[in-house]
Amino acid sequence: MVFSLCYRMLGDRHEAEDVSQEVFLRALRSLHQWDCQRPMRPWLLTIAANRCRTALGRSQRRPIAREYLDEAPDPRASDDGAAELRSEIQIALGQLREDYRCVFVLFHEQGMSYEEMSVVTGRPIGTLKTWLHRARAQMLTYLRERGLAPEEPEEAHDCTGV
Amino acid sequence: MTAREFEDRLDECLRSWVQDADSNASFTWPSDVIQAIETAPEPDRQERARQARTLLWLHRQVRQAPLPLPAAGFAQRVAEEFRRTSLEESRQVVPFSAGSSTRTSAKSWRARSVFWVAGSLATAVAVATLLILRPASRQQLLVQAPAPSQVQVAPPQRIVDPIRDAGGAYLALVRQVGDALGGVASVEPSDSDAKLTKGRDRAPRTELAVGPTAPRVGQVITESTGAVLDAGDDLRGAIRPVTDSAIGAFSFLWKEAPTGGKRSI
Repeated sequence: MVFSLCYRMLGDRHEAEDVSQEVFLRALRSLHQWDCQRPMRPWLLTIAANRCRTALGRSQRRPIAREYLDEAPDPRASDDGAAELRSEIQIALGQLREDYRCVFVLFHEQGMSYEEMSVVTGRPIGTLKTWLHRARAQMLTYLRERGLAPEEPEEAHDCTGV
Repeated sequence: MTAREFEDRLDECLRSWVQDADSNASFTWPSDVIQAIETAPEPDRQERARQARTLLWLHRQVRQAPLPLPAAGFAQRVAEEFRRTSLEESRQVVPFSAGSSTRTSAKSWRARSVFWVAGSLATAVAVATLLILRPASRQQLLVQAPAPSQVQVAPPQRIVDPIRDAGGAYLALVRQVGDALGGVASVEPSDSDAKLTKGRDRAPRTELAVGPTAPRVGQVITESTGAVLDAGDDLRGAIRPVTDSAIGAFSFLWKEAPTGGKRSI
């Protein structure tokens, strides 16, 4: 959960590992600040989002997918099409503004509600909705330009005839 | 249902889908969404249908892209860091008996109050004195002051800055520690501490915070053996990893040299 957010935000596996480790250490150190009445997940992801922001500010660069540098290939990515899509999604995420990227990942990947995302990002829900809307539009534009997203997706069977 | 409400509803449906089923499961928009599409006037109807399809497609693609996983040794590495941090923090904790915190707090507050009152009184007295003293009296005070030739000026005391003083010797010590560990990437001295980054190429990094306090060139005590070393000793034989892991954490305690003097390495 923490690692995947860091990876999506930073785009580099090793940097994501470093930041994830830092997140866990910070969480350990400030465990006394955590309100045990509240769920831990948003609290932990808040630390992760902040650390990622700091790391991005430090490196002053956009994340680049460098999966081809990994020592061991991900066994789940055996299908070429899936691997390409995965890579393109990561690149498309890297093109997004930092705030948009964070909201997009929190919603689509982490499955967080707007209320939870508001806790994590410290932003009002209305702002998050706008960011998510723009993030989706930019993602789709990028994927369409790459020929990966159809202009009119065929999801009729899933949409019950819509 | 307005356009905004419609989009919110789509989000809600997708989120519940994420929580209820995996990304490969089929998905059916609920009846209220279908109704909102079908009852919309013609340009909106097409637009809403397209929006629902596109959103579902994008969401499915993102969900189907496998989540990245950390490297195999990541959990162990975090566990080691946890252990090291806990160890360091446990050293800094000053134990006290139950109930003493309240007393300490009250005592501290009382001390602060007394200090504040005393400070205020002293300031008031000083201001009053300045106002009451006439110019003549001030003149007299100036006359009574000793002549400059009589004033003995103490030789300027050298302010000792442990890191700056130790200078190259300290960094050399750090580097020596690094050499003993193998593969030093960088040595980053700062005002308060120095970090030593260990790592081979893309191997996980282990940062050694060399002392929370400003270290002096002096003695190094290895935690595992308890051996006391003098500066200048070869550290390679004395430093032992706390754990057997190759990337395990190393802890050092720095202590000032008993003589307080500088010693070269």
